[in-house]
Amino acid sequence: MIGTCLGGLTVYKPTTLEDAFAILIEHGSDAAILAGGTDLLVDLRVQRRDEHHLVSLANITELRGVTETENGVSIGAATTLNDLLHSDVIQQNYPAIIEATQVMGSNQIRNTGTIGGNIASAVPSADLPPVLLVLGAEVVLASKDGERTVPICEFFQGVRKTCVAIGEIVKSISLPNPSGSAVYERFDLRQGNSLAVAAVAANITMDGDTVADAKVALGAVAPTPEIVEGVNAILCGNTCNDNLVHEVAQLATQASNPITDLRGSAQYRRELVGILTTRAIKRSVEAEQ
Amino acid sequence: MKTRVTLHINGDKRELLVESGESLLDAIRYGAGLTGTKRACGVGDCGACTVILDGEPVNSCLVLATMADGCEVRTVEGLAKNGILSGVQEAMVKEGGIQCGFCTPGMEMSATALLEQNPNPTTDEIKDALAGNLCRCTGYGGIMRAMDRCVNRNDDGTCSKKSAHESFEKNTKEKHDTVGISIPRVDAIDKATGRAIYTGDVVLPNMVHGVIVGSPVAHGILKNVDTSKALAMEGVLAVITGKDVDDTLYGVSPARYDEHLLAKDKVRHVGDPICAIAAIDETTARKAMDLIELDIEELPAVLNPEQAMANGAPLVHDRFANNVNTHVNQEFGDVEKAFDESYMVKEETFTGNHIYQCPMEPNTSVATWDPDGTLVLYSSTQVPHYVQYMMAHVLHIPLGKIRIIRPAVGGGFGGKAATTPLDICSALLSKKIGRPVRMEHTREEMFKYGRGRHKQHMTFKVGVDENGVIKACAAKIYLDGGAYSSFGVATAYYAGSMMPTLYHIPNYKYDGFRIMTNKPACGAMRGHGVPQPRFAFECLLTMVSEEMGIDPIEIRRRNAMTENTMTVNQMDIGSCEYLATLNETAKEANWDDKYGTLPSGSGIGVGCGGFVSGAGYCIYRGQVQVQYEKQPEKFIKKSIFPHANAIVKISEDGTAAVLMIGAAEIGQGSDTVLTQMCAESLGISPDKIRIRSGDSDISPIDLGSYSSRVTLMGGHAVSRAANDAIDKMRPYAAAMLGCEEDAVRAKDGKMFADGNEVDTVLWEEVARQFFNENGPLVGTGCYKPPDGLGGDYKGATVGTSPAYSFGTSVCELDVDMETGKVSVNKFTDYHDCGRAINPQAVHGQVEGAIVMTTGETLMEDVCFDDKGQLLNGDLHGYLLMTIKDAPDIFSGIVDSYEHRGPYGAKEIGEGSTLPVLGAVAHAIANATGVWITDLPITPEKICNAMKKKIAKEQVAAATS
Ligand SMILES: Cc1cc2nc3c(=O)[nH]c(=O)nc-3n(C[C@H](O)[C@H](O)[C@H](O)COP(=O)(O)OP(=O)(O)OC[C@H]3O[C@@H](n4cnc5c(N)ncnc54)[C@H](O)[C@@H]3O)c2cc1C
Ligand code: FES
Ligand code: FES
Repeated sequence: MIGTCLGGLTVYKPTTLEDAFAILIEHGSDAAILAGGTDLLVDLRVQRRDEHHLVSLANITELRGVTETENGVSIGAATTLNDLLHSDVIQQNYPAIIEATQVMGSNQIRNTGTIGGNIASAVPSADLPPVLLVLGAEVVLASKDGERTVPICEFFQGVRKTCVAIGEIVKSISLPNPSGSAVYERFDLRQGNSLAVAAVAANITMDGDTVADAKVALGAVAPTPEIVEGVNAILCGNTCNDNLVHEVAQLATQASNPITDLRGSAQYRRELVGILTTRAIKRSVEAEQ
Repeated sequence: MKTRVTLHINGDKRELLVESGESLLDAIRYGAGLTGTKRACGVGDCGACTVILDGEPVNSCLVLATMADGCEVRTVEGLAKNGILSGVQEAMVKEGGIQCGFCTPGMEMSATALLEQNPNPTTDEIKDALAGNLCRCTGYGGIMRAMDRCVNRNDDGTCSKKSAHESFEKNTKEKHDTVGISIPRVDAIDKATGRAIYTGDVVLPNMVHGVIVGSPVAHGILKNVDTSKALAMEGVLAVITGKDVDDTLYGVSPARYDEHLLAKDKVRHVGDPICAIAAIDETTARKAMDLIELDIEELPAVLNPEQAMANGAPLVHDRFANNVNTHVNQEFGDVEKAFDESYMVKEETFTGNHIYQCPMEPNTSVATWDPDGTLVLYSSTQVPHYVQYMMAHVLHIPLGKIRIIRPAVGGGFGGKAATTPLDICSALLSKKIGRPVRMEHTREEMFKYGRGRHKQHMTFKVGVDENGVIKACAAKIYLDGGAYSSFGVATAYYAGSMMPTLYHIPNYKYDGFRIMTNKPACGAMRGHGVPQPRFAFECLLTMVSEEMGIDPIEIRRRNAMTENTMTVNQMDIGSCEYLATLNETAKEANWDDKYGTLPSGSGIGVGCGGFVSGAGYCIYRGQVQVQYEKQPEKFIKKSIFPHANAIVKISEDGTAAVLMIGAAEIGQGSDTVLTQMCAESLGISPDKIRIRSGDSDISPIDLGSYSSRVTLMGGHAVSRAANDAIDKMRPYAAAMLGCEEDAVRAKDGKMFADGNEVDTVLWEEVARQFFNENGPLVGTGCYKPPDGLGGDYKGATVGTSPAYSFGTSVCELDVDMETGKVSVNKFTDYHDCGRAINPQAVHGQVEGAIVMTTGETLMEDVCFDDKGQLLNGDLHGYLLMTIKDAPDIFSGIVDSYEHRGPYGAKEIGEGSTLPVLGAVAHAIANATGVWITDLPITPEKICNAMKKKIAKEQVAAATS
């Protein structure tokens, strides 16, 4: 129901996590966390969701920003996509995040949309998850009972479903120190402001001429973004030749489980997975050399 | 819950009371009254609502007002300082970055934020910053030039970049002061600053809001509408249903009025209007929609022509047997014989797509009734007169009792070319409750209302001799019409009638069927009915040429239409520089070097097309009078009344002229070219003229902005009105100059005797003299299309026009040979639009058409599921090209002069779309070796076709 104000809403602007937890618990499933709102407000407008209590993260300052840690970086959940693009550490150490963020939405969307919202919305076509998967990211969840850390591969539980419990907030995303050269390949139907039809992130670590570690993750071609299992078994310890890349591409194609929709048929999406996987691996290997 | 927020808007501290769920956009527009910021989607897809929030551009529709509490907000109204335009605004005005202006405020905010952060952005950085701002009009060409101008600004504020017209302008044979010059649009500054008022910006005292509840199913019997719960809701003022309105049918083609004001007994497509609600505000009205209880017995729906024509298929309307709304059957010459005699005959089938106009401004109406019983209707329409005519028809009141006000219109492209349910329901609701009622479509409702391009299923057959000269053509087309007739009868005729106007086709046959289906009605969209058949024909001709080993441009040269030709279907072609457009385009694009030499994956393609410069006949028959009072009129080949009419009133002191003409400025620039022609004819500068085209109480009728008619027809009316005023001034000027009246000339604000530009009198002094003696100095003028246009066969009127345009496009693109993804790099286009009254405006139309139609060819398609539910009624499912997708465009104008047009002018608005589809399809075939004959040409289709081709080749290789 576009074009009018959302009725019956209460918006809270807590300044501490503790206050936020309290409101979230009080309103349970009738409460939603509001970060940039680029997903949530759209969902409320088109009546895909109908929570009445929105808890904004905007005034909880500790949630925004990229900080370097001993083992890597910690990205506050409310860090905007443009914050990521402008972050020196991210630019230098995690160029794949830049690659993925650059193609997301529009400048306006990137100014408000956040990394926390991008993963917590658990939309299959979201761009950051595949990259976070191959980087080995962990999600830090906070609640009134304390914090817990979940590997990103366990975070997604279905279309628009995550492991975030009621009363919990994604506090930050931790990335280990970079190893390998992660890249992101995405196929879309329009150059600007469009969603992925299929996406592949790859992260290959070379040891001289042979592959030491290889990770491939898929986006937009399954209910959740997923790591492709078995890639290391093919590549590890080998020099990366066309045949092996082809084998991985086939593996990825089989691992994908796309749907047919307006943006492409399942069959076509599977083919895209093969093509994008090949491109991603080749580019990652090149970047290693 | 309401909360108080403080916004620092453009430096002003504003305390506003807002709802918790209210968007910053609404707070700015309705709370602070700054209506420059626009809403075109409400969900982040379009960027029309862009404001700068604490230094960063954001979509204000996706920010809650409460979240902006204490923030600094900059809107378009804050860009100009002390009445001086900002650099971005000035550049947009000068470079033609503005047409309808609806995207302009958002675009300027994105551009401003970029340049403040990065004064020297690269082209890619510019495109990246603006990719979230959709523009449906300009093709982004003028916008990119405006950005270039900003980037190349010297320290002293001057620009080191040549402006568009400086680099574009070509020498024309005849020199004029104003005509042929790229003056900035007369409405550009209003649009650049957010001053322009669109219908959605109109606020009347005591105004309330209306909404329409549409059918949830594609086909059904409407058994009951229970409005009691909605009526009981607080804030709901009135609900009207089909029971509250009489049986009057309305529509577009008088012989096929088939729309009820509100559904009576049946619903025929998802969104078919069932009832209308008025409430104190939009939120309440929309909430009440959920309380309307519908009892509908669902019927099986027919969703494509094949289904609809099948034996025993359910009927959309009982009166159209087999769901055939119109059948056209025309044959000129002896087609079969000519095919028999042809050297080569080729037949192919082609399928079009459902395209919607998607103007950035949604359809909007505001209705109020004056105490004397006059309806005052503000409408975002292209056709104020037809709205007036139809409102008289449905309300049973004389046209004289209806005043149509057309505020600024944010694009039309045919989507605003008919009276809408919003026009009708706002008037009915307003009458009922005695308050002004405003109604505005959401983007989704725009899609459900439809009126887009017909999807056509086409078979084309062409026969040529050994030199590739066309002997005959036969076309069979099924048009998927949707649930109502709308413009469809004309569409079905247009689909066939324009084919023989581009090439000499001595024998021609056209069989067309418009079929009713349970989808929103299709209507007239830019190029009305012709783009898809033109696509089919152009592809087929190119296929023939390539199979025969003739260069595709050469085969067109051999068949090109020539001036002063009566076509086989009796279209009267006057001026025609089609051949020149072919030659110039080939030269500019380096066709001979590139065609056939590009590597696999790179392609170049050609396509051509043209259009009418105004329909030869009015949509309704007889004089301007409400239909019930008129005798059924027998058709005669003659216009009963003038289609365009103008009044020029000179101010009493002679220093200004007011030009009154009801021609609808919808973004295409008619106010500007009409002003230019008026200025030229009066012999004064255009900045002395104010045009009043938006109010039927002020301006005499013009039939509206459709069929590319305004420049030619309105232009005649305007220059005749101006000449009439000059004629009245002649005796006074002659007396002052001591010359013959006939010898008096007017130029540059002076009058003089022909041949003696030294002894002059001031134009304004002559005007004052006239006033002193006679009272008001007023000139009037009108234009009727020539009598006798068209043949004597059924449907002969459709396609008739005083003049025809011609053009050629060459498209260059790359295809990713693995994924099928297409990147369109460059377009080269030359058009014969007659004399260009304002070259910059012409190029703007061409650029806009190329980008719009390239999108149509590659990615636009309205989709429905098997129940007739819309699948992509929004701007993230239905994709319009962004600035990143738009190719570089070279637009050129060939020398041409149309004797039947004012100052030699013809048209450009629609003709410019026609070459594009064929050019893109050919370039893809050239790059990949496969022809895709099914629109849109998606990467997936390209991929599948390439795979099929490889498989075929493998089989062939294995068997040989
Ligand atoms: C026009 C448009 C284009 C877009 N293009 C893209 C694109 O190309 N690629 C892409 O990936 N996405 C795209 N998106 C989707 C969206 O903008 C992004 O996913 C964005 O990152 C979401 O962040 P947000 O802060 O706006 O989330 P919000 O809308 O605020 O929240 C999204 C969801 O996450 C929850 N949430 C948010 N933060 C937290 C938290 N810290 N802890 C727990 N739950 C939380 C919310 O409750 C909600 O359910 C687009 C959206 C629009 C409107
Ligand atoms: S109205 Fe906000 S992006 Fe379209
Ligand atoms: S000028 Fe951009 S949408 Fe009309």
